[in-house]
Amino acid sequence: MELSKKVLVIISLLLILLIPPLASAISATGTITGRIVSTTISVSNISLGDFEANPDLYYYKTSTGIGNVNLNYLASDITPFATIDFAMDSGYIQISLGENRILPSGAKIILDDDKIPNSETSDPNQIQITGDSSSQATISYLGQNGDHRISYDADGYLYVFVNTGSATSGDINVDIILTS
Amino acid sequence: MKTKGSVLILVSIITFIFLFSGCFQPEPENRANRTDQIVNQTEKAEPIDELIFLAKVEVTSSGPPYIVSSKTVLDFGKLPYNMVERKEILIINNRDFTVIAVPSANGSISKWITFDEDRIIIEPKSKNTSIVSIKIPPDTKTGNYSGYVIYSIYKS
Repeated sequence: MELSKKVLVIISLLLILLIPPLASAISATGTITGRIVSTTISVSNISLGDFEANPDLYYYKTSTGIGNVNLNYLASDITPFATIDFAMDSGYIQISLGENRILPSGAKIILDDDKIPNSETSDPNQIQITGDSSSQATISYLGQNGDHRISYDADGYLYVFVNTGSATSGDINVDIILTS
Repeated sequence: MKTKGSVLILVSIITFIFLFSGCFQPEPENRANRTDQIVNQTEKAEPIDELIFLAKVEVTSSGPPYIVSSKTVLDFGKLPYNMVERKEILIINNRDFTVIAVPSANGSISKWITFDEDRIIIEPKSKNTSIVSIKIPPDTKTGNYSGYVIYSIYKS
């Protein structure tokens, strides 16, 4: 009887030690998952055409050509630069510049989620791109959180306004990269 | 007799602990050789898993892009000619071994789809990314195109 008990104890001890290592050797725990984390598009083929230098006017693209408004006025006939459909019905668009960055010194591009060109103090949810002394575009206003983003509470549109500022002539050729 | 039995038990316990504790694991191989082996393995082995994403796009001749920000569908929205759209996919490996993800595409959309890497190595309990790009050539007939992007997962 004592011998049987000893055998039983030994077998039990061996089983306790054996099962966990075997379990980890033959099982494949976990899964492989994937999800889309960002979408990026470079917009470089939107042509505005020619327009006069005027520091008071904000030019934009319409369905028939070019329109313009003064600061703080509604551009009712503006066509969107991009349309954004968010998976969760809210999100952001992050703005960066692509390879082409030609923008006359003093000229400004405003990217906005609404149809009214405003100053950043009136409408902080926008991005501004300005031509520097070398006529190179730089992002001069980085959005309300300084993160190059325009925020949306719902699916929406991105609009673009161009102001010639102190520039009197020159070409505008700026690649704008949108990341969602 | 009791002493001999106890010693036998102790020896058995110690032996099994050493056998399964990793003391006899092989040394790590040279990584370059391992990568070549991995590439050769995927050409012969069956995938252990697949990640499948529906892919679709509406081709337009002009106009602003329509960007769709979906986590599960490669929806390239509305895209005019020559505009490049990229989607970044995060692949997470929760397994205890390295896997290789091999991307492919099918359907009417597949001819415009490219990948930044043709094989993505993902270490155990780690993640890696894959960029899927699309560019519509000019003179493409406008309309809707679709297909699937598939990541075939192989065990390293």
